[in-house]
Amino acid sequence: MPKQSSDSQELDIEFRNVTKRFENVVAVDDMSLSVERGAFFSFLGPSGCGKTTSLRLIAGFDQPSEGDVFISGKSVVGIPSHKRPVNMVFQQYALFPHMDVTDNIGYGLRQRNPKPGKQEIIKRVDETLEMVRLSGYGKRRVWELSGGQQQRVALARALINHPTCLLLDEPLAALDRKLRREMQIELQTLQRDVGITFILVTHDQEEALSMSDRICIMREGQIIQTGSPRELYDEPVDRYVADFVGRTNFFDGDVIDITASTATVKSMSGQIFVGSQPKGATALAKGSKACVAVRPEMIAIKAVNDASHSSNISINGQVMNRIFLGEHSEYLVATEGCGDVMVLSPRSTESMNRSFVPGDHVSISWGPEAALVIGNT
Amino acid sequence: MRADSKPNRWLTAALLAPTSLWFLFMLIFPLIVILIFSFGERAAVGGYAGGFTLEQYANLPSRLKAFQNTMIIAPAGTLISLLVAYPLAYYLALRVDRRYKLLLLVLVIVPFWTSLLVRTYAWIFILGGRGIPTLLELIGIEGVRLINTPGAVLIGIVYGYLPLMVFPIFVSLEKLDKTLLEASSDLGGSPFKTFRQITLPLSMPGIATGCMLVFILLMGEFLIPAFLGGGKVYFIGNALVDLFLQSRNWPFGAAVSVTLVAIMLITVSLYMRMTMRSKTGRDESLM
Repeated sequence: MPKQSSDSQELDIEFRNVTKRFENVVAVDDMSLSVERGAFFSFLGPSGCGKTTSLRLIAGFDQPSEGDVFISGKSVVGIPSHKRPVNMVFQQYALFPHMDVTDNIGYGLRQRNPKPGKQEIIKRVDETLEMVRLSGYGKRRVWELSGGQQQRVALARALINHPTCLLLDEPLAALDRKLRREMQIELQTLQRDVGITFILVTHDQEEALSMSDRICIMREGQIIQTGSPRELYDEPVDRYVADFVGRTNFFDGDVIDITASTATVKSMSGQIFVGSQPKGATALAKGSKACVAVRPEMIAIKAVNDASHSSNISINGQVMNRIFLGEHSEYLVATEGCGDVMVLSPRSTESMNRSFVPGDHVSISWGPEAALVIGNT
Repeated sequence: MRADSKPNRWLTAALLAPTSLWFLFMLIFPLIVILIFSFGERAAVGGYAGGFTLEQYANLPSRLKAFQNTMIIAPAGTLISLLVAYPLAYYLALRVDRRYKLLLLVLVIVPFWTSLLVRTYAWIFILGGRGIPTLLELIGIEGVRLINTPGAVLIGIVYGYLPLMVFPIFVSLEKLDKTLLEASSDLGGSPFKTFRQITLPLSMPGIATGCMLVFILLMGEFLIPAFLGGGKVYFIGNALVDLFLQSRNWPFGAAVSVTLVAIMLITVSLYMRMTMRSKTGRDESLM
């Protein structure tokens, strides 16, 4: 069997050099990506980065200006949305206001040709209502439902059609924080149960990190990095990703030495940092501008006269602020020459050492394995 | 009862007073006068002579043709206006580029800046002997007569009342959430099915409003049939003008008026019950 066709059987969605222009705005710029069958895949990025356009290209609401979009190995360019085997959950749900819950959910089945029988539709709607835990709500008008219930109706209306792929456009943005958390767990469970590909669009990094198998980070119509949540967090390819996913301290400087996997950076104030280079990032050159990224939870905070540091990088500073957050404390430390540094100190070490108050002189330190040297874009 | 409800009630009464007085003196009171006149007799020199008789109502069949014309052409005119206005409103609301939308809307209103009388007069020339029939003769179609036919009246009606139909439908289509159309397509609905199942039902309030506006006004129309019907296509409105102004038979005119009002009340209330009951969703108001 030729390799290409075996590949395409594993893939649910594939973009090959897709570009989408709206008049003179490039929304998606020469994008290639593939989503494996059964994955929970997220497009993550700020508004206007092209993530919603990407989703609309899959749904068929927009057609690519250039390039090719594949669903289950077949090119769908030119095929209108009503003939594509994917379904979407809209941001504001887009439930039909003149129909009750049952008619909304059964809508997709009623468009089929040949149309299934009435009994068949009723049976499938009831099953789907049960799946989204809305049994008994069939006769309600959609505007009588709460936000969370409307969300479930929207999910049911899409899933009843057994799409090869479910598209979710910021589905949780309209819900309050607590409900959003619940729906995140529910969506994950649902995805495992039905076993189809979910493609989520979100600007909320926490949402993407907690639900997805793979995340695609976008900026200005281009993919910056695709990877598992852990890869994105531990090995961001550039400053944009490191900044967007989780929280990070950045130290700017010039690259003064490079080995195969590490780089040494000297800051303006003369501080020397050593860190590893993330896999997949563009290689740094000696003398180029770079920044050192250190996650706040990787930094240890000690009293300044505590001499337990070894090969670690250590900087002296003064505590500016401390926020007690229950399981950990967040310190803001003003350092000598390296700006303000955020440090997350877990409770376990807090109780061993003493906690610090604003004004205390401290020493912050981290091992070279905690630091990443990335291009300063 | 809440303590603050009393001043509010006074305020409500004060706000409603001008409208109520207007309606009382300009609508209810004249209607009562008409009702009383309709049971009276014609004075020898014309006008109203008092008395009580049902003779005027017994005489109604003599104006049967006017009633028939009105009852056929008004609904037909409403229907044709709807069929012409809907595609236009649909195009304006959903298809046209945002930049040209306002311009095109203004173009729909512009004819309103000139009196309907003048515009209908223009149609006499367009439909008359040296208008369209002459043009048709040039391409070999002869003997076409347009002016003074029910067709001419219908053309005039659709022309004159189109904006009244376009606007309510345009508003209801403009309000329509466009993602609903995408949702329908996403769920497998072809463009035609989407129109039938989503767009059309959700624009029903606009259709109902437009039809009502046009129908009510058409029932009392007299200008267009007088100009384009040339006395051959005769509406109740024309009968009333004749009775009150020409033959000065006020009691009979009053009886025709009362009958017209009664017919309108019955048809409109039936129509409203029909449209209110239909499932148009959350927005069940007619406006």
